[in-house]
Amino acid sequence: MIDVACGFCETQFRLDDAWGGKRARCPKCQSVVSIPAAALTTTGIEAKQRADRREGTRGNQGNEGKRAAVKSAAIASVAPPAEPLAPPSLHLLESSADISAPPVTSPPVSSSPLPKNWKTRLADRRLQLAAGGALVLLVVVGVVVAMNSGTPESVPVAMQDPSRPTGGLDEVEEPEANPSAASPAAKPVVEPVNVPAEAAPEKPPSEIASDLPVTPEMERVAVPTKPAPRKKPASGPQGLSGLSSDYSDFHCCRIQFAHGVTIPHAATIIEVDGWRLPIDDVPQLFESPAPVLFLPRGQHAVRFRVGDRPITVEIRDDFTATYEAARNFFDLNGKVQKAALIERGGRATDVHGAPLLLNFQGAGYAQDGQWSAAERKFRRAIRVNPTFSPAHLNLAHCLVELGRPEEAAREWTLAAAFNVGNVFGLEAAIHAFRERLGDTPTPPLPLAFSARVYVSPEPRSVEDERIASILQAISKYAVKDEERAKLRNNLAVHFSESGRPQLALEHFRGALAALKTAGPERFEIATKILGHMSDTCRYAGYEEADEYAAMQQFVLP
Amino acid sequence: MLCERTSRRIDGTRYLIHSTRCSVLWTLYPVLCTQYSVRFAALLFLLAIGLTAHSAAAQDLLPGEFGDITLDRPLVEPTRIPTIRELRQLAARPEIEPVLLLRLHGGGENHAVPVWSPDGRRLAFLHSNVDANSSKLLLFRSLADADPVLLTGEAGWYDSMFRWGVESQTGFVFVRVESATKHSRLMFSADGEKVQPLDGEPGVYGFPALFERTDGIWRLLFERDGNLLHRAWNSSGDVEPPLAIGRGSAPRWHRDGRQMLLLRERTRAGRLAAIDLAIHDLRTGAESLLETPRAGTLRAPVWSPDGNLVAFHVRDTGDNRPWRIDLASIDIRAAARTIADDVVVNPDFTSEGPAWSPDGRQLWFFSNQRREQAFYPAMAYDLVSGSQHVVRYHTKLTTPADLAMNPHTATPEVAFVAYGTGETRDLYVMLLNHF
Repeated sequence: MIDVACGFCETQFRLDDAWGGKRARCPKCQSVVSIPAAALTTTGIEAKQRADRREGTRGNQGNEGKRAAVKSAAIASVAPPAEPLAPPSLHLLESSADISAPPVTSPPVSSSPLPKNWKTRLADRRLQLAAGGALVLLVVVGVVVAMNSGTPESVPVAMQDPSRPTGGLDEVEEPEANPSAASPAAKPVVEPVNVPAEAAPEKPPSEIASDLPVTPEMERVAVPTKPAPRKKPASGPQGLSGLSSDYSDFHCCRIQFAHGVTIPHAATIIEVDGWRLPIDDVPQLFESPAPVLFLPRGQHAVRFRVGDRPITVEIRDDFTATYEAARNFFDLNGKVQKAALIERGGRATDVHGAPLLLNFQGAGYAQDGQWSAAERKFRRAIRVNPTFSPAHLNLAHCLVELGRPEEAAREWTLAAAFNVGNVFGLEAAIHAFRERLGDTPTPPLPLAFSARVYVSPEPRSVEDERIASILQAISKYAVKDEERAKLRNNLAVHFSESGRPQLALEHFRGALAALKTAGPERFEIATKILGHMSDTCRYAGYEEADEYAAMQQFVLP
Repeated sequence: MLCERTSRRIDGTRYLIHSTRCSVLWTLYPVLCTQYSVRFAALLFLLAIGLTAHSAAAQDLLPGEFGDITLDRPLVEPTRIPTIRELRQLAARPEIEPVLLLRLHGGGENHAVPVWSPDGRRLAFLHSNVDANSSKLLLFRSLADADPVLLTGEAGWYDSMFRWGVESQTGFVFVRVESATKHSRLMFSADGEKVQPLDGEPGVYGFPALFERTDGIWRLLFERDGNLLHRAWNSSGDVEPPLAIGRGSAPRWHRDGRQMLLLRERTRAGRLAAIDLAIHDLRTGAESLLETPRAGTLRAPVWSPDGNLVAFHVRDTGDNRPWRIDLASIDIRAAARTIADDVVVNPDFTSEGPAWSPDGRQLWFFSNQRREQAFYPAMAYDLVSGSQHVVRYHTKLTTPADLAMNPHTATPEVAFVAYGTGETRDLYVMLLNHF
């Protein structure tokens, strides 16, 4: 007789030897059971178990052991059952074809029960799954965070069709909107200046490192290109890592405040030594970042409000000499050193606290006959400090070239009004320009001043004003400067996307200004914003596109 | 036979239950099995991608627009900064609607009386501590500061009646009262940082009003023991002797630095007979009375931004009479008129009055008439059209008070105190889409 136990439900059977070597189906659990050969009798089983123990193996090894027992032989050392089970209870399978049950490793989906130790197996596998799932979740979270961090650098700021007019500034100078149309003869070639690191005091300070980007790159036709890989300038003896700190924006701000007096926000008049400037709406001047009134050398009595006492202001140096030195530094009488100006603008991330550099940049464009670009620079200079007469006079020249003499008349009048005591040395130039204008009528005095005119002539709807006001209000509450910068950037994107590039640039600069005091993230964000500005200019056909692309080189920790 | 059939039925039921249980378990088995963890991980990954895509689509950013911007402040409604597209929609809507509501400060104590600086970039407010028997002034020197600055931490003092200097970028003044002795004094800061007491005779001080001139002279109006006084000084000392202006209260400087608004007491037989609203010219001494209700209690008059109108709280004599907002013109021929009835007025702090919009076209307040249980919508009365706008916001903010409008903004920026989720009145700021 053959004793056999089902490997799944462990039901015991005793069968005739004729059943040996065959396979049958357990009537209880319907599992397929291999019936061992007759030699493996109870006596043989016990002998085998003793042999297994000697070898250190166990006849019964839990789950895996039960599975093996099904395949080889289900052998149980048990007492003979009280009465043998009838062979018909074990359904003999004639051939392998009769085995319709799925393999043991894949238990049937239908009504076959789980093994008795399925809970243990399940617990083990759950533990393994939990560990694996946690690892997978970590990976997924990391992917999600990476996908959501900021905006792709390669996505440009959307713009309308650049062939659409952008608000009138370029309407007259259509060819200039496309820089590639510039005649080769007029195309300037600006060569980098290689000078020793330490210059003698009497020589003009022109310490520009030789590893600056080659300036002819900036004069190429404006095509969208990726900025060249940034390289840190070599370290040098002073300030900006080998680059001259002379006439940086910070230096220009010091010059400005040393030669003037800040107009208070409560001012309603400007009266210097008893002479009242013919300016109406003086509070508008305070909308600018640096409303500093330049005064000539000496002591002055300045009054800002009717009924208030004049205050005493003492200016120690002559601004004319200082300004002339700055002009010589950037070679305004020869070939304007654009590279040096762009580098200083880049160091200031295009956020200027003084108008000098912007005025010189405008002069550079004017020298090349790029009057629209020059106009934008001069307006920006006035936006920074509306009392800077040279920018007003230069703007007047631009407007004449652009065929707008009435506006030019207004600008030269403002230039004359703010040239208090001929502080800028422009008296002769203003007189000459007046003669150039000829019969163009002079606007009546006092002149109404509007800061908005120098921001942008682009139209603004009621919704635009609301959106700008809301976003600027929200940005005030941002604890981190980086977040404030992002809000200002988004405001700029609104204008850029709706075809107002100058308003967009104004707010991009607001974002850059917010980044001045931000944390380490400011460099990355500033680079992105400069990229947005470059794209905006490129879509609008502005020459400044390459400037902003070049400025990204200077945004360095 | 029956037993056999029954037995078969019972066996069948058990078999069915067992089969069902096994079906469920076998269905889960592939997921629970380790060797199927790759499939499970893939499902998780796809789910995460789907959520990410949904999230990105929900923000709907323009190219170049930054998303997920955080102010590092608790946002009440909505819980994130609106995108440009959303702002465009909000800006185009004709109704006045909230854009963003944030909690600026709170927790632990009751807050009151937010006061905006003239440039709209700084905010001062009170918090009171009943246990310590004191109220303190808190100052946001910049709205970007994470937390306000406590002007002083001394216990046993009441600080109140805070006023920013008119035409000043930094200066402010307030009253300090010693709770034990009730001695009071005026406190002044020129630079917005260092606070110093102003010397003066002993008395009960109140309602200081500061003005900064462009020549460095400070002018101060204040009440002492029911009399209005004026002082002027600069860094060198007093520039004029102190000037008595007569009995009155609640002075307010005009932007010209010459005229002042004040409540003038009118007595009869040594007793208070009425309170008038007057405009006094400091230079000439001339005074004109504005047309106001003949009887009633007036408080907290406020100039309109253009200086041609005056709004003030008033209520009729009698117990529990509601406060209303009246409007008077500097043209003394024009009669005062009521523009809002039954408005919310802080009974404990009397220094701040109705809130003007920066363009002088609207007056903003909370109204008892429109309240819904403890929720009070904000109201805006349009002086030009005569219409009232009801502005609803997050209804979980209840019992609001002390509505203050930022004086230097093109869209409404309202500071107020209200009960939120906690048990104290916190300071909130609400930005709206337009006036």
